[in-house]
Amino acid sequence: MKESLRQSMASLHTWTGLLLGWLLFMMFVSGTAAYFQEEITQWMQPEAAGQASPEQATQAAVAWLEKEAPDASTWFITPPGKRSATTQVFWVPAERKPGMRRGDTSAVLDSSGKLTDIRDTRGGFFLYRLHFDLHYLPVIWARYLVGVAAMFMLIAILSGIITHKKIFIDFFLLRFGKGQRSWLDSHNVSAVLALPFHLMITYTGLVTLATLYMPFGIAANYANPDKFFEAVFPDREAMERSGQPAPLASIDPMMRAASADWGGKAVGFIRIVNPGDRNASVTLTRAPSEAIGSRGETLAFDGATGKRLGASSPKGGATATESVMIGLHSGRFANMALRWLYFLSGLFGTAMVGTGLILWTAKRRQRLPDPARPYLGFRIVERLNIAVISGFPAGIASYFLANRLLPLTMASRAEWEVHTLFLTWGAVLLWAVLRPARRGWVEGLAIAALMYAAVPVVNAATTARGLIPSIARGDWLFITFDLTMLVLAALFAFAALRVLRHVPKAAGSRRASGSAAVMA
Amino acid sequence: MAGHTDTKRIGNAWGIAARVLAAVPLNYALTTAITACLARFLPMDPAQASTASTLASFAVFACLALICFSVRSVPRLWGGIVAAILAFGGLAWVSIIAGGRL
Amino acid sequence: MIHFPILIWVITGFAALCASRDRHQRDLFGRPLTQRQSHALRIAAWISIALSFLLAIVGVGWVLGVIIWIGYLSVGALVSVTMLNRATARRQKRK
Repeated sequence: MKESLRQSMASLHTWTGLLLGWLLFMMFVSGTAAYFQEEITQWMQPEAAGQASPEQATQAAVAWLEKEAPDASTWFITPPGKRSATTQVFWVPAERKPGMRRGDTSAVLDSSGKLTDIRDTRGGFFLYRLHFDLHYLPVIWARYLVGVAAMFMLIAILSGIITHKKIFIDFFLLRFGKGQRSWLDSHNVSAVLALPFHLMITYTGLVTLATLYMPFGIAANYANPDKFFEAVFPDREAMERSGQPAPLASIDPMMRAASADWGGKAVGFIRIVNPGDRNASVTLTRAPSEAIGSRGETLAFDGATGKRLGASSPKGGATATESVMIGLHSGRFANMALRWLYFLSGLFGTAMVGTGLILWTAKRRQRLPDPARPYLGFRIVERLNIAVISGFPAGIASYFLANRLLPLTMASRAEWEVHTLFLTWGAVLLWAVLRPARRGWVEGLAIAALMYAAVPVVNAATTARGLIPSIARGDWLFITFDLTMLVLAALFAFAALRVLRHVPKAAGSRRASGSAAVMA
Repeated sequence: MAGHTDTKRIGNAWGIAARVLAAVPLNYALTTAITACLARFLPMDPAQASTASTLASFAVFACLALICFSVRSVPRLWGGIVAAILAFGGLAWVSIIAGGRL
Repeated sequence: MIHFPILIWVITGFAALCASRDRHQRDLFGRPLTQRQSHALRIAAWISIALSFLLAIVGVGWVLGVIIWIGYLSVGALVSVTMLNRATARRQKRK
């Protein structure tokens, strides 16, 4: 009976892992990159450099907004922080005109409150949004889809644990062997050793969009969901514009007071309602990078007089738990060392999914009645593996390349950087379909290697912040980014070589274990 | 792929289809019913109870899905799930009718 | 810099746990150890892991401490599995 349970769990593990495996691979790659989204954004905006304090930058941003959007109903300001050099502003106009796009009501300012001359790009932020909003899809469909994928992943993890109980009892049995078992070993190593992380990241991932997937916990107690949100996130009642103009009080002292209240923690977010009116109010929220709970404390001020109105923080054990879970997933609280650990764990997760997908074909290749003509399902999996595992990373490299190569004054430049990612990926997919499988692997991995290697070269050729000048200047961010590109290029090249050199065994050929080194 | 399916426990295509139906839509209905009950009956502030039950719902769904593929008899599985949906769903419904919502 | 002692104790713990198992003693030491030695190693292993946990919560704090401790467990597991693989490979070469 036990044997049978193991087998059904093994089947379940295979199916839940395979069906959305490629989407999960994408989610892991983009999510892992997103841990450094701010650094990636800085690399993709080499013109940006700011020294002013967040308070000065915010005050300058307010001055800019007073000129550009004096009648807006609300202004949102994200001051520069430890990891970002620019101020992001966004406003809600008094009247929403049809055809108004996101770009019309948002701007990126430098620390002196001027529109930056920096290139139009979505930076690392795009990779973060790609992780759960995907692209070319209505956002809500994307979020449902990634939610389903995350639940499949959770079930795959749990069924994997049940199937391989023995590995947990003595995980010292794990072997980095060469040859036949190496795909299974890579999958086991990347899955088992970082299992606490994988479980945590999957469950907390579902929690980040919890009320989208399970709205009935709220519906059971509240006829109107708004009442629930008011109860959990108490907010001052929004007042209407009085029509009497009053200059906005100085923001600088408000920010300092808030930081002082919060024991030195930085302000992450400022919301100004009815600016320039007597009924203006300013609400500051604690930066998510300053504590593990993602939902920060807030402090509100009267906008015209600068008087303190009140403070609030999300209350309650369950809300605090949710806040910590979301904080754990996004890792915004992490310092540099922990952030690298998150990144490494994400790479392990990516390896787990990738090796799992490859393992599926590796296992079944032996059982093919005619290895030269596999059945359709096998061919689809094999081609998708090549296309996604080498194509998506190659696409990201091309996103960085496009950032350097697209003309600065081009229209919709940021969108075209994104299109480049998908065009490259599509090209690799096409290539993977047309080539014989083994060649497809070698070439796909080689393409990825070449593209990553090209990034520091193109960076040096098109900006003043190439690797050598950055080393001279001690610019750690640019140095690390370029070096990481080179390391990734080396890993993909190594994998391509391994596949090229691997001679398949006569009795049951096995895909080479090259990529094992890439992933693990 | 055809030869790979485990036939001992999961069974043939109909069996698999029945289990998938149990593990996805029926499971979601049952998880919803359980979540609603937890939200109504957990001894805490209603906003906190709603939050806590929502947080727990994913674990409930995942475990139920595993059960759907490990129970031997499909008719028993369905019977059990439907009965549970009626029980928990009924409980939540009665509680809402009696106590109202905020 | 409490992190170094935490990590060291985790690695020590896993190494001791690994060495306490008959299966792995041959690879590590060339011969199986006595019952008492295995038992002692097992106790040492659990004490090391417990110590690392205490260092984590005292040195870092409750929530964050538990989280990094769990992270270090993964690191410790990886290090000890790698060590064991090396020992096994070395032994097989010698054969």
